Amino acid sequence: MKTTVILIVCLLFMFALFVSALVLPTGNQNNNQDQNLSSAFVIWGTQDYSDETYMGAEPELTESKQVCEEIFNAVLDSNEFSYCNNFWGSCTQPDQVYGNVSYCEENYNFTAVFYKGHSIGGFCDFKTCNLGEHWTLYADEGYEKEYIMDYLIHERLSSGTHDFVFLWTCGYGSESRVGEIDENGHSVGMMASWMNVTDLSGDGYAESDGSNHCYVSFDNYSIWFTNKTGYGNFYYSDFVSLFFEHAMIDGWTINDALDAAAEETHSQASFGDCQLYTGYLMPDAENPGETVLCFMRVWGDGNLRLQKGG
Amino acid sequence: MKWHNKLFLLLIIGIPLVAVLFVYLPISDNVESSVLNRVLEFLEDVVGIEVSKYDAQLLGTLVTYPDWLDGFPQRTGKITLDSEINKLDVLFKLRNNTLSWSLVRQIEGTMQYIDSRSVNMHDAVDGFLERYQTYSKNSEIQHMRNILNTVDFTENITIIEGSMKLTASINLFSVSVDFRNTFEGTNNAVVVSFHNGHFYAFSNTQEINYPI
Repeated sequence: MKTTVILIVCLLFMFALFVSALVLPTGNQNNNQDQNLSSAFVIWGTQDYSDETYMGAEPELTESKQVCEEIFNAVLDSNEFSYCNNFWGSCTQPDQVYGNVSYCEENYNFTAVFYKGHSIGGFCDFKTCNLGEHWTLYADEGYEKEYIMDYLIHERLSSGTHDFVFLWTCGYGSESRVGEIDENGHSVGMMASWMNVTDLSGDGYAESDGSNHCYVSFDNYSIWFTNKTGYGNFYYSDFVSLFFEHAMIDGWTINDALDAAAEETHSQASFGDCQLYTGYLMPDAENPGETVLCFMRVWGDGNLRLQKGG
Repeated sequence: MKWHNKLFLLLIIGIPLVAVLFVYLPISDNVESSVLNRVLEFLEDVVGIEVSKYDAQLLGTLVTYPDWLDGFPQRTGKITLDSEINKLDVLFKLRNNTLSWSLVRQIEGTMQYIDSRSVNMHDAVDGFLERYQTYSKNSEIQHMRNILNTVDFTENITIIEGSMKLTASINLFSVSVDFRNTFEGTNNAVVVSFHNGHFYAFSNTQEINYPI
């Protein structure tokens, strides 16, 4: 009888140890999720890559779809975002974008956005608008269809919680196109329109401004996902996938993720040493046969963290 | 089988299971401790940071097995170093257990070195390479230092000697030296970068024999 009791106690003790080993980590994960209920991550992108010379055609289309899926999976796996959607392709419609901006502003206190596609100028129908040419993004169907307008995004802002916006598209990272907001709250430019800010540091990589807002896009032409980085068999699709993979690691900032992705895909020491920062040449659509120097620009707070809402 | 024999059998199975759980957790801690020590060793012996003045904390790490590394592990991580007057963020990558990338970002204050650093860029880079040569026991570093002797860092320059190509670049953010072995198109490199006169980042993709 005595032996039996000892055996049962031993068994219960081992069972308790086993259960606590399994339960304790699970408990921590639940706590993390509770802390991050207010973060959202949204991916948009056009399927229009019809121009072979300036858009990259079918290979760029395929790679864009693939990379957006990879980013989506990396974000999901991180468990850092309670709302995450990949709207690349047919779901990228102007009204859906505006509606989603409203939804995220009202329901989450941190929203990260990634868009892959193209840029084109446009005009608004505001009689009082003195801002000149507006800037738009291609929706799914692309050229000569309805575009995603800058000021219509801005009209959907309420809480100002779109704190990280990465537009892999031409021109919207340049100083002349990040935008402004007039005295009536009417906006032009993608940075001003998505984030309701116009005074971010122009070099958030070298001089992070602590604003908790980070905007990334390109000065002149964006580089194609299907372009090789010049090292190994790496492409710019690898760069952006690795960027988001690293940005999801606990404690890592935007700048950290840029550095790690640049090192791995360029065999350079840092983002500050690689051609995305120092400048790369692309064919100039406005001057056929010529090339133009282009940059990836990081505006605002490069020390922002995507995990746990910044 | 009698019931107490069944219990005995359960114990036989259960004890190793619990033992594995007990053993696994310390191993995980040991790996993290070992990784932390290796990076700190590099920072002290090669970068020259007075590591003893800092409290070091290992933050998030990621272990992957990228295709291009031919199945070898790549451990990516971040360490914070805090002292009374200075805060640093350190990023690193261990590829196939070799430290192949490290970046030191100054968050607050100025880096605390073991001894005084040269303000002359050539001497700073050469000093780094000399210490790295000792640390890594890589004989090729001496060849790189010999080529570096002709560089004064007043302008961008490219020098090719045999299969070794040196590129010294000065941009708005950094001054960097890139030693790239172009033998049979491998394109692997040792790169050192300085920002505001301080060590910023280092990458070595020559140390690991993986296919490109």
